[in-house]
Amino acid sequence: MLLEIQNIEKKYGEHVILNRVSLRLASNTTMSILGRSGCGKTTLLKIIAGIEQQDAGNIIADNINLNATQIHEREIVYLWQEPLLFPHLTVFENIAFGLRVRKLPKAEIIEKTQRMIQDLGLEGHERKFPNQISGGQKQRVAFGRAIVINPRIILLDEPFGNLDVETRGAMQQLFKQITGTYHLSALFVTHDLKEAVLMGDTYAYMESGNLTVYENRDKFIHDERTGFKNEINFWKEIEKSK
Amino acid sequence: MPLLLAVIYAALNATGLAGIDAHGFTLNTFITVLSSSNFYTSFGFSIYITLIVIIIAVALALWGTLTLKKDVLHGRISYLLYVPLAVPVIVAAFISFQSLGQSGLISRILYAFNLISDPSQFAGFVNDPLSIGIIFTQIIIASAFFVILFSTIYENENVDRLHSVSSSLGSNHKTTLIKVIIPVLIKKAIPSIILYAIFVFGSYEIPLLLGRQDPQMISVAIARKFQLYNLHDVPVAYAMALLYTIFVITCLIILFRKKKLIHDV
Amino acid sequence: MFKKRPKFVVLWICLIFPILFLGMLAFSSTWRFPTLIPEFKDNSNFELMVSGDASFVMIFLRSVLISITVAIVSVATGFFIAKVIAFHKKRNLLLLLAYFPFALSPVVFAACLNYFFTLFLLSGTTPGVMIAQFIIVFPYAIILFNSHWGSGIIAYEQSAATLGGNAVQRFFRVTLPLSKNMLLIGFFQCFIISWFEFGLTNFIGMGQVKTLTVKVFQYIGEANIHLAAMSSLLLVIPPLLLLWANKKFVLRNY
Repeated sequence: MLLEIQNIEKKYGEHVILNRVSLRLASNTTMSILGRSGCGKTTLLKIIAGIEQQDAGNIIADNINLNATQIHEREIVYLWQEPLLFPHLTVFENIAFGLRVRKLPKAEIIEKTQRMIQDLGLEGHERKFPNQISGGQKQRVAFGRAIVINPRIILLDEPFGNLDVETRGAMQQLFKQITGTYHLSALFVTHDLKEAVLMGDTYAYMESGNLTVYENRDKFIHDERTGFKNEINFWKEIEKSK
Repeated sequence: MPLLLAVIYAALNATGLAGIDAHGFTLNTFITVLSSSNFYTSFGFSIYITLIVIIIAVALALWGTLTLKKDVLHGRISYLLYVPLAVPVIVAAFISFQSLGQSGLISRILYAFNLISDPSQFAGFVNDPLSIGIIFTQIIIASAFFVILFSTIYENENVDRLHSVSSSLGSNHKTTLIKVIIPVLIKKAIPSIILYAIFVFGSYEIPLLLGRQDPQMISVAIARKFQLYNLHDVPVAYAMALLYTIFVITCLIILFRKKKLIHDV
Repeated sequence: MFKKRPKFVVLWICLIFPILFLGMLAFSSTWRFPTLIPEFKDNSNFELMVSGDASFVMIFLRSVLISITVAIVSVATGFFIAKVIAFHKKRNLLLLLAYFPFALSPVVFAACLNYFFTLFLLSGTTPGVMIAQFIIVFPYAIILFNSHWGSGIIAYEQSAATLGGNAVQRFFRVTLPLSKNMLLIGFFQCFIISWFEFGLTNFIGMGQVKTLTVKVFQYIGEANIHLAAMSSLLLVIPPLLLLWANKKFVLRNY
């Protein structure tokens, strides 16, 4: 198993954020985690990335316990809802950032970065700075910057939350495509039911710090809490009333 | 840390537990300070100066910001407003000293226009009984600061848009000004205004050069007590310093509480 | 545009005139009542400026040295300590503490601290003055940088960390470039606070550490208005140059 989360607990004072959360993620798969804002999804991802510390529980990747491993040595990239591109670096340098800090040979950096720019359809924007490109482009650069270093896992925290509907659709497509090409493993957190269904290979639902993992998609959409049935009923009612 | 040291040492000195003139624990110094009119006049005088300066400067700055608005925010004039901030207070005091004094520049101008025939006919605003010299100098510096403060708030808070909203809701310019613009500016600026008032209250250089022997502003009074080579005065100075410090810290704590409240809402 | 002209003129006169006035006083040697414009008789002022140990060049350099040292040390330490405070549980309390020395009258503060400076033989010495100034400039640096750290810069650092950057790389590749402007502004603002400081400097320096502000005061005491004006002019020039470079360098926000 690529990633195994065992009984993660987190409290802020008396307030329980994560209540014995466990999950398993296989290689080359994406798990969608559906949940409303404030349910603890972000905290879970930040703990996996090492940005926050859990009170109890284990994070195991490739059979190695990562509890004591520092953020920059985990090989797990966390993507914020905002792209957080480094404003002082060009698109090219933003994508190359992770390669540069790994001190790869120059030729390799250029080659890998160029290929990533092509795969993301960002040709012609290499020399631009983040404030000169659109929101969707920024999010693509943020993706490229994460994927180019070939991380173990990428953690996506509502990555398309700030985009308009059309760009959002295009980005979902692109993400599906890229995860295939680069054999990515990902945890994808969203509050959007459709997006969760669309992006995931496996599914989970989170509510006030409790995580439910489903065996398959059917079980996921038939759980009343996910709101799938409501949605179906809504459209059925509309149909009927015609 | 150093503040704590200073406060403790001041407290020890003022209560007679430390210092050259120490004779064991006593609260007599405090009693002396609190029962002498000297302390109260200094304190009251400082408050008098502070209030007048802040009220006039805020009013001037509001008027300035609202009439000069566009020019203040952009263009060359904005640099002019920063000039008083680039002048050290001691230099500002010196300039006032040379301009407002009995034989200063203003007096000479009046003479040149035959309005007076002798410097003694010009009252002069240095060491004057109403401390107009001090107030004038402080107001110039404070107004410049407040205009910059208000115009920054004006821009950040989108006051122009609030103005349109208010107009579209049917209020005229004057009502908008009184009910919307000025309250917004003041409310946002109040922590800075109070902090600035604390600075004026404790100001040293300007009253040192332009003030009289009596009454003295609190900083000047304390510093002078320390510098007199009368050993009995030193504990008194410490006691005054301590009371002043407690006053300032209390003001800050109240200010912080209020500020936090605003943040919470 | 043209209508607004008178306002401009009035402002010009109010704000620029004092500096011209200083210049006139500085480069003249007598100003007897009732002459309006000070007279220039000999160039003894110039001679004083460059001659001997007590020359203005020396005083100027000493002031610059003190202020630059205080500013560099305050910015360097304040930057990192502000980070610790910005993410500390008791952030508000610590920030309140930082306001205390900053809001107190420096001269009163100095008077109370003087005992410790005397104890460590620092009174009347240049290092003593530097330390004393640091005590009030450093909290200012903390207050200034606190809002900088609060502005989300930490997310960029964390982002760099998850991409594999270690602490040193994060600092030099992300934090420093993103904070460059703020550090520069902080440096000049701290420089100016130190540069303008009189009460505390005079008290801890016991009048022996002669900075420009101390000199202005001493010359006024000696009724030598021309030399006082000369020192004042030297005091005003660096901040004006900074102002010309960037308005933010001189605006201390409270």
